[in-house]
Amino acid sequence: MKQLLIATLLFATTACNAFAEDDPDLALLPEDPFREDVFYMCSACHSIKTVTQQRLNRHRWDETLEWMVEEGGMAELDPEEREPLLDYLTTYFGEDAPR
Amino acid sequence: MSNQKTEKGLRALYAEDPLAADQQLFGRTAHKDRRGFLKGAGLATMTAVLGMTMPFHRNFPAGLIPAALAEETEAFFLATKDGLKILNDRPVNAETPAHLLDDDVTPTSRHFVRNNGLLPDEALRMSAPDWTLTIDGEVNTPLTLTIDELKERFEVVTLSLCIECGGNGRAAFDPPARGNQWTLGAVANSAWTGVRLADVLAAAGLKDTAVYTAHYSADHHLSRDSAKQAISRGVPIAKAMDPNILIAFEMNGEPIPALHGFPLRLVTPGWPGSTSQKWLERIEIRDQVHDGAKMTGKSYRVPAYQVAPGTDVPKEDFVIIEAMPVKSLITYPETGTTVSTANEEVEIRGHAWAGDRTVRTVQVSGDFGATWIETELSPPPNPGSWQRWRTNLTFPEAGYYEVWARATDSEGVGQPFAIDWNPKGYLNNSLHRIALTVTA
Repeated sequence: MKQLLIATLLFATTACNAFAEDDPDLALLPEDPFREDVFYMCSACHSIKTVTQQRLNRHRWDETLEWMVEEGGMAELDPEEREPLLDYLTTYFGEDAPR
Repeated sequence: MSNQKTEKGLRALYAEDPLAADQQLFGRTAHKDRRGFLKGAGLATMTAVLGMTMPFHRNFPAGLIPAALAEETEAFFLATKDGLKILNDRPVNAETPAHLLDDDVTPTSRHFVRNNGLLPDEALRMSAPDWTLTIDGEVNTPLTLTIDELKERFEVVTLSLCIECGGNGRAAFDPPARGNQWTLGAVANSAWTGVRLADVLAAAGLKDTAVYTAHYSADHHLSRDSAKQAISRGVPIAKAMDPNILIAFEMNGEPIPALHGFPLRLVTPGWPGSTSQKWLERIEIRDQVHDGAKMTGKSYRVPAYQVAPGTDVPKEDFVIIEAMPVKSLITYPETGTTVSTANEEVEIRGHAWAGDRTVRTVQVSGDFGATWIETELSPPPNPGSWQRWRTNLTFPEAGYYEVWARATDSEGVGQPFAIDWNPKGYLNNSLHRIALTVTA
């Protein structure tokens, strides 16, 4: 029971944080109409810094999403979510994007 | 970053004076029994921060940070770190600039952090009176021991041990490799106190069927799915019997800090840091190569053969990384500094290490590799430690110089100039270069 309570508390806090509009990590993502969607999808589990460190081409970002669904506990993405996410990641964190 | 400052403050305030911190941060005063919220003082603030009500608030102890907040603030243990570059805060990953690794024994404040998941509650609270370690699987006598029992039953030793992350140096890969973009500083050599893994395994009695260890720990997967492990790696039995692998409970003479595996961890010198499982609860002896989290696929694996940069390598051609390759680091002077005037001696020094081997020589060059001079190299204080090297260089005139260092191991294998590229960005042991300015 205690564990369940703690788990609920933790989950609620995490979710609560993800919706904080003034989360300083949001500013790490370049402005774009899809920015907030990227923020929520990624920061549910890990820091946005996990994303912004990477420089990967579209194929490798695609593999990375695959890996997160298989190993990371991420929900399967619909094509209408997945394609713009891949576009965003490849545009701003592609292989040739400045570090 | 303002959040970080506030929360750094939160931990520090609670460490200093928990009741005052309650008052200052939440406006909280507890009842006389040191529980609850007197006349509700502070309850509204705390529940607002938590984002929900606290049905049992009358029982909530005074001077305690709600676990939910403590969990959210695990990154703020990083406040105890000195000069580290934070690569990631969930999970926590931070590395040390080379010039801050100059000590022979790395202070805790300068030891890199590579975490895969989220800290267990015992580590957040730094309290684990009931912690046990279980040894089971292919053994004659399965064991479950408390930390006190480990100390009583087995010889306690202190060793300086070099731990390097398998992905140290990944940031220099081209094309880039996915993962934390470590530059140079995911390596350290602290003093660890514990019992030898080999002694504990001998007490359990390995069966002939024993092939591999499987390490399990109490940290949480990032998704908080309790069916998933953040990481669970192992080593072949031959390596597990290496007398320098410790089941450690102290780091530099203190209980192991939360970020480093409190209260118990493995320290496996010379192999990827991921084999040094933190928050260790169980070692299962398996009759096959372990297939836990980050043992399979491409994790901590490299292609079995050399590949051109950017090659797509099929999964089945990857092999598990074992001993780390020979490497050296220049820890003095700091790169980019102005060191001296022409013709004046400048001390150059650093460390070198070589996986399961020792370092035979370290050479440095002050002329972009045209000529090399031998440095004075000390033997390791104990097997598994890095080795100190030092020398003096003089520079003939004012201008820009680089110092390069290259180590050669006891089998005659040296560091390469260029990276041996692999898809996941492991094992970059290319030689370390620093920039120096010499004035007239």
